[in-house]
Amino acid sequence: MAYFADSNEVDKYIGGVFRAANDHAESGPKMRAAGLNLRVLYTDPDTEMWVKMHEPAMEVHTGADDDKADITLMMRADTGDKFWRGDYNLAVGLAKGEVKAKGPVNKILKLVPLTKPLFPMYRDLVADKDAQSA
Amino acid sequence: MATMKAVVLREPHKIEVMDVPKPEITDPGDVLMRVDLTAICGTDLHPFEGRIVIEDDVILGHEFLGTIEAVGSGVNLVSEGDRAVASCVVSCGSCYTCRRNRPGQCLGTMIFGLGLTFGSLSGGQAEYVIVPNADRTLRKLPEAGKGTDEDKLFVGDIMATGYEAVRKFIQPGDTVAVVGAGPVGLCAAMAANVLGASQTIVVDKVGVRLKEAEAIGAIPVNATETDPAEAVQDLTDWRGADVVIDAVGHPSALLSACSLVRSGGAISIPGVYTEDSIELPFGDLYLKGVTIAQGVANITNYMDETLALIGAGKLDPSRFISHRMPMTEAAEAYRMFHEHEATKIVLDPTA
Ligand SMILES: NC(=O)c1ccc[n+]([C@@H]2O[C@H](COP(=O)([O-])OP(=O)(O)OC[C@H]3O[C@@H](n4cnc5c(N)ncnc54)[C@H](O)[C@@H]3O)[C@@H](O)[C@H]2O)c1
Ligand SMILES: [Zn+2]
Ligand SMILES: [Zn+2]
Repeated sequence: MAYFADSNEVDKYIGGVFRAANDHAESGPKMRAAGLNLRVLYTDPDTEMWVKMHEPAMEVHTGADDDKADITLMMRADTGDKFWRGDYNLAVGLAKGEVKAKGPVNKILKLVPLTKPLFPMYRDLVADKDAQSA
Repeated sequence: MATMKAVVLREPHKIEVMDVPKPEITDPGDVLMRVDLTAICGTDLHPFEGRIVIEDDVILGHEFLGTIEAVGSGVNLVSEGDRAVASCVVSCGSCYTCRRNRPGQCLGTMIFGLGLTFGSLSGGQAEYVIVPNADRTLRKLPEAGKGTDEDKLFVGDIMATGYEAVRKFIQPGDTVAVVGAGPVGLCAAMAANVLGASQTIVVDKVGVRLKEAEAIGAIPVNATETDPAEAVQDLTDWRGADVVIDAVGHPSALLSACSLVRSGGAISIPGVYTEDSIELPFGDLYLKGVTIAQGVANITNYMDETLALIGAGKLDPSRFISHRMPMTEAAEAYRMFHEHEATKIVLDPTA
């Protein structure tokens, strides 16, 4: 069974960690400085997420957007969940085709390390949901 | 829990040798290796200087060889007790680009000691390291033939990298010009000699490094004293070099490389670039019909060749080692390498 019941939950938890990143002392400023539009296409449940990494604040929303994406990723929402818990090897996922990416590779590579300090924040966010389903 | 010593990049410019958990096999393709010898590479300087951003507290190092202590259930080509050298790049072997013989561009490229972005592989500047996809990643050290551990260590990175950069384009009798007399450039120059260059020109600004180049029969050009383009033109009857290697990874070097190449020649770029864009003399390159090749090296494609040539006594990259230090002195070693006080440093994890 998929971890997230619907796209509202994907927005709440995965969107939530990006929103929380705004206030992360280390990664927040670096993500905003990237000046990129990241679009993630999740499946199971189908969710289109936009993360606009710009000053003065990152904006996160789900649903379509007319803006142009600099980077587009595609993966199952469960894969996103595992990644944010720190339990998913992105390199292996890319090799297997479980994760697909469009856009300049050097920009993607610069974003990835910024996510690691946020893993504990994600685990805090999903703690309530994990407790309910346990 | 069992622990080991490892070289940890706490944050840019801050190296600490720390006690960390000894790693364990988690995948059937893994090997647990006890590291006998490891080295610091120019690529380690990218995260050290913060030019490549990685997360904090990563164990560095991707040049190492050692003795196999345990093998996963899916490993066939090496066994406990074997001695082997690892490719610094780990490829999956099965993806679209691997199937097209480009392991350096594997869709899931992993590199030891470069953090989450490159597969979260802990590095080899440690007492122990896990080597994934071991059948592809490792080569057993040949016991017969010439060459020492210190020579074979480099087929996992700088020797294979320099060799591939030249080998992709060279024809017998060519003039090869190498920009950068760091370890990669010196290995490229050594490879050019073996692969049939009629003359090998090496450009740098650091005197001791140019001396190393001269010692293997290359023509040194000190860019602070001589215009490299003029020097190369003079040596090639005003044609330019057939093959130019950028073994630096800085836009100034790439521009220099563009000025050295002949019409119809090739620029081969092992130097690492992560810039969003770089201004190049494109009309000149276009009209000269220059071929450009670049990217993470296809190390595993060239380990067998370079090991064989070491065994035959034709490649001896250990001569470029300037310092041998105990791994416990890694912080000082990084400082020295960063400040060009050392050409190549190997670290002994057992000392
Ligand atoms: N493609 C790969 O797979 C691969 C593998 C190994 C290393 N590398 C890269 O190769 C590059 C070289 O590695 P290294 O270990 O030899 O590094 P290094 O830093 O020791 O050597 C670089 C040399 O270039 C010289 N230099 C700098 N600017 C110059 C210029 N404009 N003209 C001439 N010389 C100049 C420096 O004085 C130095 O001697 C690095 O970028 C490293 O990351 C790539
Ligand atoms: Zn290297
Ligand atoms: Zn692959």
